Amino acid sequence: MSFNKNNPKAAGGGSGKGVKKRGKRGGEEDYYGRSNKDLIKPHEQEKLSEAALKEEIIRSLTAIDPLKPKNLVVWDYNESTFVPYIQPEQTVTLFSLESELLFKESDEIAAFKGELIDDIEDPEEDETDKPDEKVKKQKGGRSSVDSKGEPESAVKEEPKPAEEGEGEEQDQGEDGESKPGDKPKKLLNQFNFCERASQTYNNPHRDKISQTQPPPQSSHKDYCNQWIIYDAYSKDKDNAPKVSTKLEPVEAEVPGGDEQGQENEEKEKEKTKKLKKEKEGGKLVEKERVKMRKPSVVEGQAAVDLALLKASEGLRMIERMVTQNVYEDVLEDFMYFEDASDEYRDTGEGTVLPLWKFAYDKAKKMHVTGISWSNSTPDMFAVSYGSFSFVHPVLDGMVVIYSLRNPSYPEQAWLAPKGAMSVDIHPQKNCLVAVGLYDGNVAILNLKKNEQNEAKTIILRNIPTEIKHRASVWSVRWGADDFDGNPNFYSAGMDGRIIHWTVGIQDLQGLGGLNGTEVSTLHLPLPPVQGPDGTTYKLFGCARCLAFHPKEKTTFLVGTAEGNIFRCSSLYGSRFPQIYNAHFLPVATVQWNHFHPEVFISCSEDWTIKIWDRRDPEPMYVFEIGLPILDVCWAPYSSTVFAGVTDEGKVLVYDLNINKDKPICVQQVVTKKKVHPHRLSFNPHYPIIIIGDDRGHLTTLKLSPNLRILPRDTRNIFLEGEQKTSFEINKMAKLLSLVRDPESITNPKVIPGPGGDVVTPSSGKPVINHI
Amino acid sequence: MSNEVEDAIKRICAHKGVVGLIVINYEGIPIKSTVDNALSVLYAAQVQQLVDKSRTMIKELDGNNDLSFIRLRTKKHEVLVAPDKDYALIVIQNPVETSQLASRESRRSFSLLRIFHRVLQPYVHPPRAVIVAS
Repeated sequence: MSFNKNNPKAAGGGSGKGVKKRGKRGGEEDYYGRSNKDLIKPHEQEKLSEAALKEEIIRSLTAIDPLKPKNLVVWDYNESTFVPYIQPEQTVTLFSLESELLFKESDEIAAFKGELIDDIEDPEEDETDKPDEKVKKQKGGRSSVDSKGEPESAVKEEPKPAEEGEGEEQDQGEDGESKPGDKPKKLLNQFNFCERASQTYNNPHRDKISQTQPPPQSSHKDYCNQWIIYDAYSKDKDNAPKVSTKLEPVEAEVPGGDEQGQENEEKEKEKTKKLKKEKEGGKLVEKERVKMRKPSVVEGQAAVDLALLKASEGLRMIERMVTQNVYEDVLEDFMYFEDASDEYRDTGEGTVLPLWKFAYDKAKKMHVTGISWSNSTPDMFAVSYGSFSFVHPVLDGMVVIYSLRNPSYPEQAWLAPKGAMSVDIHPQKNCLVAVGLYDGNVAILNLKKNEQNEAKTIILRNIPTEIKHRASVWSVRWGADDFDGNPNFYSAGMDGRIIHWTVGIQDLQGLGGLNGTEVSTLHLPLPPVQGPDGTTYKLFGCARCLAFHPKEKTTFLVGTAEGNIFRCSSLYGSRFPQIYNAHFLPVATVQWNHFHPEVFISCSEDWTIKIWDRRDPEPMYVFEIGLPILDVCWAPYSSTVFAGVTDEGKVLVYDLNINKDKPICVQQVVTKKKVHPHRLSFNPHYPIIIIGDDRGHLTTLKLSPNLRILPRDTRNIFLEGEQKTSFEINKMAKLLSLVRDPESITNPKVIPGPGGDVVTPSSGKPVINHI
Repeated sequence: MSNEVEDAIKRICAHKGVVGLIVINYEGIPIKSTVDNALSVLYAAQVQQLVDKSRTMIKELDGNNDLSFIRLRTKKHEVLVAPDKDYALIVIQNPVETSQLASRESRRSFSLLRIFHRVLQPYVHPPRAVIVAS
């Protein structure tokens, strides 16, 4: 309960005990005569109903000091016991007032009697009648107080007589209660009171509980450790480099402003400006942060697309893994399967086991025109698709990069504008692939991705027409890098020219192009032909295949459609150290032996495979197969093993060291008739060969152990490095010495003079001796 | 979405034994899936944890190392996970099927049979004497 101002406070008067009744004035005016309406109540003041306001409040004063301790004891040392400690009286005089009251019986009362009665009656007049100034003047000090407040309240009291009346009635009622005890002679006795005490009910405590809607819950799990925290921090740091630099000066100045804060207004203004700046800065920071976050927290479909776009690399990996599961058996065979039956064959024959088959839908109808394994990545190879058919040339071609790890789909594919006729992967730089096209152009594919070359991994520069080939490019081969380290390659075209192309490093970035210089033109060793108008015209051979010597980087061989093999040097173009009259029909392939520096092999559709010593214009060995041979290839692991494919789709594998007469493996590798395998290539690392046919299919075959017998030393350990090379060279040399006249060994053959004007003896026809 | 990615996903799903492919983002939310929603959410939630745990393990062992692939062989499937910074790819595959084993046998017999079915014995030429140019 709090006191309302409506409760007129009895003046501090009243001695020890007393009951303060509510002042009789009550109602509209307070003790000081001010109107209730004017009262300004503090807002936190409790609001009470009318009845509550009128409730009696009892306050009591007691003379007993409640703080005074009772029953004090002190330790008596004499009696060694506690004795009650009697304190002196602790009476505190709170209030003292000399009474003006007199006893009735006393003598003095008579003297005051008349006055007293007047005094008592006056207050009643105050309440019942409207106060007027006269009455107040009659009153003592108290009325003078009222008169001061009168002018204000008098005006306002007038319009509310009714309310006043109520207040009066109540007051009278209260008075009435106390009246019965009084005699008609009113003598206000302060001591005549009745104390009413009542025990109110204590408000019972009530616990009120209400259940609210539970806040949404979500469980979140995450791993956290040092490096994750570190990563998050570093990411955050990376995200907001500008922010920190912006904020630092502002933050540094603000504390200074705080210190000087109250010096003068200007400084305060500055300070507020700075604060504003800081706030703006803060906003900026937040904005930037939002910006920074946005890319990573893009919402909806865009985010999905973005993430999926990034997923291409992962998809490639997962595709490989899926295919690894799908072709698990093939993979196991590739790694571990060795044909056990090889051991039981006396003749040293072997088999080939088909492994993966590669087929690309878009290259279905095209011929495989070239296969090139990557030297440094043993599972990667490039295939060029085009057409060998003169009658139905395929206009568009394709170059496809495959990996053995994913036989189902190529790693990369380039749709060539014209049929691609040949392909070669750079032996060191895997990412460079040279392509020769049907229309005489050459192209370079850069498989590596970089900024300039993001999606298009191809660099194709159209070469000035006076330099480029005027007929299809049948063969491209990389040469050794030049002195500047620029990659360069050679191309051989149907127009009988060999062109050397240099690729500038800056060209690879997508700027310039290829620089071509003609190395030589393959003029046939025939007298010039008379033209219609009397001019003479030198015939040239149409280059079909190109082979670079593995050691001597300037020496190379070119097989022509006329059946000649030109041994050329890139140092001097117009003269040829040797021209071999090799075949009746176009030379399909020519290849140097991997070990023996003098030996090369050639094949043709005239049913023959020939092995040559380059010092000898005549072949050392001639293998007449009885079927057109479309391709032949030396094995990279042995000097005496080579494989060829026939027109009918058979693979022949020879090991001259084992059997000079028969192939040690003959096997059909294409299942359908009318499918001609055009290209064959040995993997440089694994014992597998790949065969490409004219349906665009590629077949990989694993060679059985008999087909790849490796040299061992006396302790049955495989020879390595130099030892192996010399062993292989010796093996080949022995074979050559078998067929060579002793005379020719001691006295090397006279090599026909350089230039195209030498005709090799006996019309160059290889004579086949049947024994 | 780029066709390349779309094609690759189609291709992978066309492979033998592939039950489905799910792409989840770095929060573990599946953003692309070829299986029904419930399963993909289930896989995504579990795989995300597995990836985190595995990566933690790898990093703990060698700070310079990083996780690149997870193959999880189970009784029924093989779960392949290719995790990356912003996404992870999950493929569920039934790895071994009996038909595959049969195909291997046919492949081997193919190679063996061919030995006995040489249609054409090539002519054989012994080494010949070299004709000396006169």
